[in-house]
Amino acid sequence: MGKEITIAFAGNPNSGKTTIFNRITGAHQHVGNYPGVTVDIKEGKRNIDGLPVKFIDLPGTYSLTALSEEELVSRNFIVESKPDVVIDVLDASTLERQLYLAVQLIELGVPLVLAFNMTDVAEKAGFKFDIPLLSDLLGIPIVQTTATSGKGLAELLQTALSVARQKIEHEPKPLVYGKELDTEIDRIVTRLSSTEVNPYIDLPLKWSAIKLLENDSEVVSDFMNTGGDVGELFDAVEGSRQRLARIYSDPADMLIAEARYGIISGAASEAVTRTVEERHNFSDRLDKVLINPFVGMPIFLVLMYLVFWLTFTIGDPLMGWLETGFAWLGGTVNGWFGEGSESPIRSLLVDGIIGGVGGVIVFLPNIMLLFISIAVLEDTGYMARAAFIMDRLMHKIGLHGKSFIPMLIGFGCSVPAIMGTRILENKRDRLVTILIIPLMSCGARLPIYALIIPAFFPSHLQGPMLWTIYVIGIILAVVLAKLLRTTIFKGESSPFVMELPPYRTPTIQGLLIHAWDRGRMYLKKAGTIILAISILLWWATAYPKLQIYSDDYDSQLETLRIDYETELMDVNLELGLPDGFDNIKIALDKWIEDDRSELTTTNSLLADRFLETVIEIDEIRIGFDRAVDEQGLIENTPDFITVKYVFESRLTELEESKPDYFPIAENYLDNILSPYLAQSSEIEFKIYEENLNYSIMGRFGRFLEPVFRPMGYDWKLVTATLGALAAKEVFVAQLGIVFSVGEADSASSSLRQKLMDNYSPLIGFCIMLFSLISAPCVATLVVTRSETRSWGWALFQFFGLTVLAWILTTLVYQVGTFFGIGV
Amino acid sequence: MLLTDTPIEIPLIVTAVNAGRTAQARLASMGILPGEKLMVLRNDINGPLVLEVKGTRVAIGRGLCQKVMVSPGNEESKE
Ligand SMILES: Nc1nc2c(ncn2[C@@H]2O[C@H](COP(=O)(O)OP(=O)(O)OP(=O)(O)O)[C@@H](O)[C@H]2O)c(=O)[nH]1
Ligand SMILES: [Mg+2]
Repeated sequence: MGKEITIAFAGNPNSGKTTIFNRITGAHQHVGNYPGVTVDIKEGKRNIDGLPVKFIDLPGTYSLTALSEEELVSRNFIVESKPDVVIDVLDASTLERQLYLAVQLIELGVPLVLAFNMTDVAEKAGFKFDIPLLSDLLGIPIVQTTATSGKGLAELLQTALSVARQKIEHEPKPLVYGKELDTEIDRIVTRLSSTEVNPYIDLPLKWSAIKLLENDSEVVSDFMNTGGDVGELFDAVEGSRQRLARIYSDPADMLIAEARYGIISGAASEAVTRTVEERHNFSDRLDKVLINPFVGMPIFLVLMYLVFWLTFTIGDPLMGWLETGFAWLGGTVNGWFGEGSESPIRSLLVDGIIGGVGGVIVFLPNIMLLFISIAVLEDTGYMARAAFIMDRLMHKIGLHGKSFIPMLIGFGCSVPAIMGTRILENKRDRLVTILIIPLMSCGARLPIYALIIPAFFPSHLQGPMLWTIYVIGIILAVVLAKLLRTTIFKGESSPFVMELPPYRTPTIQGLLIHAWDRGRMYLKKAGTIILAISILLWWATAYPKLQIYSDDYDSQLETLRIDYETELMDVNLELGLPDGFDNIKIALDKWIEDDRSELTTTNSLLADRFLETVIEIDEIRIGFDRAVDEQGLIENTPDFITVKYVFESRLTELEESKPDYFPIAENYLDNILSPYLAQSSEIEFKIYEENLNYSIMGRFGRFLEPVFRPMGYDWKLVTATLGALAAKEVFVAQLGIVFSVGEADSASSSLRQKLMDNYSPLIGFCIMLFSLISAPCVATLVVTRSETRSWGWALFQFFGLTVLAWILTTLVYQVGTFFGIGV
Repeated sequence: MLLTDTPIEIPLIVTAVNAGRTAQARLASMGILPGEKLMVLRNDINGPLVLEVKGTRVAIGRGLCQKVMVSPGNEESKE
């Protein structure tokens, strides 16, 4: 067996490298129709003819100078790791520009194969290539491919392997740069061959000569760092530059660039023909509208709104199903343990795991939809246009349009967004963008809003409320960017240069892969970090157990129950049933336990009639409450009165049809059942509060409570906030735990209801505000550290945002309380 | 003349790029360098310009475009 073969994919951004890479390795890397999707080196492996082959997907680059991070990453990889063969993937429909990189790869002297990708597009545009001639002119094998359909990929792989195994001689034709340049390059090569110092022993001397002549910063410093005597060499290079300057007005690096394009157009004029010359294709026509200064912006805003609208209107019913599913699961598991079980395993399973992890998983549909929407923007090519439109605005805050792409991705997740800032060439632009990205409210914060908003705001305000939160994030990001740009990061931003790719129809498969990819990551997070933290938090919330309560709650509950049963006996008498007839009590207990859904029959007709009436009254009342809630009706408005009238007339109808039972049933509901339930849940709540207070989390939360108090937080919210540091979704999970531990019917009554009972809308808003701005999650912290290569910036971001969050939320809470808004 | 002052959709030839080294190299890698043909597709009151270069569409910031000198492309071009 020979050694492992390494094949690297290089090429211009957006030429289809990742698509080919995925096709060949069977991987699911992210592709997208804008330049700069892949910013990192990705690896894939596959056995071919029994031999392991390693594939490397490099970030796209326009050249191999030391201009931007990606260019350096790609160049250094090729120079240092010496892949056995490099496949340069070119978009054949814009061949001449794409060959600029190919020429530089030829200069590097790496074994090379050219993949003329997007042949389908090139053919439609009327290009004809004389492949054998072109291949001969450059001395490099060329294979035509269409990555999206897989055409030509087998041949590409075979050719690459043959080159790697040296079955095909690799001998590129020497490139001709023109008489004067060639003379000077030769001179430097001669000088190089007679000197000991050369940091690039494995590379052609001609490459070093060209780079020195270009004055490439990396190469020059590598030469200096050898520690050898480079004085003479540098003098020789300087001499060459001066001789060239006497003949041409452009500097040497420009001359070399011009010469490269000269070589390309020479080859192209011989081997490429174009049958139809099309002006104004589809993309041009679409751009007339989409990047128009007047209509472009409104269209952009509508599209953004659509993204979020879709995420919720389609996501919410799906979420409802999952919620029902988990409630059922919780109920079932509860059932295994029997009535009012105190088993810690029950509590761990139901409160800790199902309550915690389940509370997070229910948001999966929303998150996947958000990612699908972002993927559509990416794959169609609209993302680059959005950057174009936003450039005008971004300029005002000292950034440019390209910063906008990572910011938009930040609505999905900060981690890929921060990595995506690599498309920014300028270090200051990059740092500012990284620092403000967490203010783009990410998908993981969505569960928090989705929990809070419906709990505190009537339905007609829910959409605008969500919108407000996102907009607050954006405004803060803008202000912060401006602030950073005029203080710590003063200075010019790099000029805006960005290719606008042609519009493409996204493939369903591509979108699904993308969504599933994200969904899987989310599930994985839920199954690992969030699961672990949920268990930890559950434990800290449930233990240690309180042994002696401040009051004898058990006997209080017992007294209540006895009173209730006595009053039920009175009902028996009123109905004319015998004293000691227990069936009504049993049926009602069962009905209440089953969430008021089903009724068992007693074996008395009288009793059944009575029970039916009770339930009918209850249903009408619940129907009324629901209608008010769903339509967001406000008391005493005409709409409210109309609805109220409808339901009241139903009650009257019922009273008329069952005059014997109605008064007794109404009396039972209002004067017997309601007070009993209210009083007993009050006592249960006291028990649960005392337990929580005594637990580790309770103590810890109360210890920190003074810090959070000014924002209106109680210690329960404090514990949830601490949990959210690990991952924002944990906030929801922990609230679920805090409000369910110690209760028997945990999974059934909704968390929202409990929040409503405990907090004011003002606090609800403060929770969202603080979650939006405060400390990004640990994953973000880590990726910021790795992208900025400094813990300093990562911690600056972490604490800076947290302090900002505290100040703003405190301000809102205090002002709100003072003026009595939402309290 | 300056690239920003030309009418749209007429063929042009770049005569000089008077930008800094990095910006020059960046433009060159997109195919914008002396002797090459291009066309302005969009030039609004403010914001970046959209150019057609070598069959691709490239958006370039206005400031940078002001450093690019061009002459009409159908005239006898200097070589
Ligand atoms: N019509 C057509 N589209 C293609 C072909 N190959 C790739 N694409 C599309 O081109 C776009 C870019 O593909 P990617 O694979 O992400 O390109 P990349 O070279 O990895 O891009 P960067 O990571 O930005 O450097 C995607 O929308 C692909 O679906 C092809 O042969 N024909
Ligand atoms: Mg890629």
